[in-house]
Amino acid sequence: MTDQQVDLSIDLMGLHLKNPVMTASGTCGSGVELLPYMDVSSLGAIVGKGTTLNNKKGNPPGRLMQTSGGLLNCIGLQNQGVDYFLANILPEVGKLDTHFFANISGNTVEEYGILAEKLDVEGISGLEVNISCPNVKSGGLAFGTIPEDARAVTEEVKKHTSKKVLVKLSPNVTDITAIAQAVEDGGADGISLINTLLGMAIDSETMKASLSNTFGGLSGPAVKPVGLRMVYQVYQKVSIPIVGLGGIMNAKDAIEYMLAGATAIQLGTANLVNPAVGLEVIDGIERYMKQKNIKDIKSLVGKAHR
Amino acid sequence: MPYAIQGKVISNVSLNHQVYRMEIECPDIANEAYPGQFIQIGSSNEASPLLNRPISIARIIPGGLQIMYAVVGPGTLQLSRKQEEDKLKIIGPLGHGFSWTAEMKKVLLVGGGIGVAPLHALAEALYEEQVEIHTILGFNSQKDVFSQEQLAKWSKKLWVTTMDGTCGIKGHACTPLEGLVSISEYDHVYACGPKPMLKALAKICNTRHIPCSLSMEEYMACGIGVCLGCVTRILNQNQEETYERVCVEGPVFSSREVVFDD
Ligand SMILES: Cc1cc2nc3c(=O)[nH]c(=O)nc-3n(C[C@H](O)[C@H](O)[C@H](O)COP(=O)(O)OP(=O)(O)OC[C@H]3O[C@@H](n4cnc5c(N)ncnc54)[C@H](O)[C@@H]3O)c2cc1C
Ligand SMILES: Cc1cc2nc3c(=O)[nH]c(=O)nc-3n(C[C@H](O)[C@H](O)[C@H](O)COP(=O)(O)O)c2cc1C
Ligand code: FES
Repeated sequence: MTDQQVDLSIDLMGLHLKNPVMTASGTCGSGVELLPYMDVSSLGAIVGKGTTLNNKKGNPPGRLMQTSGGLLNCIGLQNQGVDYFLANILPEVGKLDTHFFANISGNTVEEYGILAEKLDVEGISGLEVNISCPNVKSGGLAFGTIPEDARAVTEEVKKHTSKKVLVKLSPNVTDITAIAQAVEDGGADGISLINTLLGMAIDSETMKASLSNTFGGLSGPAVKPVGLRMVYQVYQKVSIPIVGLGGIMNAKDAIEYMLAGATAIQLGTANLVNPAVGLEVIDGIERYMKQKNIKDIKSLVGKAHR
Repeated sequence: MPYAIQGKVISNVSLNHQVYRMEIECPDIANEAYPGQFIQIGSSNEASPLLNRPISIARIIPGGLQIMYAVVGPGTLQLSRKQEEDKLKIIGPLGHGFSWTAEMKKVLLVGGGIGVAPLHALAEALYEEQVEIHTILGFNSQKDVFSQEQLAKWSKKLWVTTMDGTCGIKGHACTPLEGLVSISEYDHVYACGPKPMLKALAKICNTRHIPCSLSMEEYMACGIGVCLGCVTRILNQNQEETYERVCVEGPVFSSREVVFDD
């Protein structure tokens, strides 16, 4: 094997990313928290913790539960609100030399528009519109399950921003391609797939639901086959780029998602287990490309479709 | 600054039917660690158990750390099988541990069950500062008792309580405070143990205006502040209830700020 140079850089919706490895919303803070463990600027991009219009307290304790190969959570979008984010968190994020996507959640279509407008500022490369959080009782999930609503939210966000817009879909639907097509029609620049799968755990000792919110979102290795299948299906139906995620723990998982049709990938639960996993995945992808004599990573995207 | 490193197991011995003591070589973490902090231990490379396990720093030793852990499920079971020279993924030191001031003359340490673990580093540090230490250790039964002799070395007085009365005073860890020991003689109380014990102790200390630090536990995923999974209920300066991360703002909180479930 020759020690040839490989190119890991990608074009995502017109943005130049050093490599396709991103961190997923809610699992990396604002990215700054991972600095003790790795050079965060070597990541392709960071997606920040979900931001809402107003301060959100989140769900009561009893927010996590492990399952076989997975993690259930019901954080409930705890955050200090968008104004706090702009004043206190964005300046810190700005010190990192990588793309930052702000992940937004609203209770109404209008709220998504207001959030998009407020976040149309320097230091933010794009928005990731969460229409899929299963942990918020009002709004959230409904937008992600009805194609017309998903389209309406996308249109509203696009109207209020000059940034690139990724719409993050919920896997808790019967036909993911219908939602994907609706957001493409609404003007989305890209799609993130998947958010968590709605699940629950029951404690046989206390005979009660383990999570304070009864239900929570399942993530981690257990959900990878679902995410992979959805990326594969959506790739066949839309022409905008897909960011694949769900249970990616290592470079091999990441490559599988790219072969299914993802232009970039996000690491979620993996960050919680190993805060330096991003770098390991980048290295692993590079090694794989050298082994397979692949010079340009873009040639991997969608290759599993024959 | 915390590190994510590979530590090497120096020793791993059982202290009783459930509790083990492990020494891990990890100089970087040991150099920065202080009493009451914790580490995240990677229990396996498999998908299950997926998450790292938070374990308190029991003692800081030259070039490494000592931990004490109870085997309760798959993660701690795997830990108990580790042998000398085995490698362990660890992240630490994490969290805000115990603090103390030069004015403190006499303190009370209260440990319940495996909550006795983090009191070792604290007792050792306070002993070196020539603070007079009194200690209460609470267990369910005689078979559960561990570290009594070790803590007695640093403690001027030490009481053991057991729920079934098979060792020491019959009752829970706050029982000696119902007559034997006067809480008002202490400048500060430090405690770690099950929530009902911490709740009872907080009530005693708060009504007598004795400063009291509680080491809290919550289920954790990341241990480094990014997932917001480990929150506990806290009264902030404006007396509003908020959710604070046990892994970053804690695990040690003042008894005045913790809101216990009814
Ligand atoms: C800051 C902190 C410090 C800790 N220090 C120590 C220590 O020094 N020694 C020690 O033995 N344990 C300590 N724990 C608890 C320890 O993390 C759990 O016992 C361990 O994660 C259980 O893992 P497992 O896979 O063996 O069992 P699991 O199968 O994960 O759990 C078995 C049972 O253990 C209990 N449990 C699990 N996780 C926790 C948790 N985070 N807090 C309380 N109970 C839990 C639950 O009742 C659960 O049903 C600490 C926890 C925290 C948050
Ligand atoms: C603790 C936790 C918090 C999360 N918070 C958010 C969030 O605020 N917004 C969002 O769009 N997704 C959120 N997610 C979903 C993840 O970004 C990701 O879509 C999901 O976990 C699947 O990927 P994974 O299996 O790699 O973790 C969260 C996930 C976890 C585990
Ligand atoms: S365990 Fe993730 S924030 Fe505390």
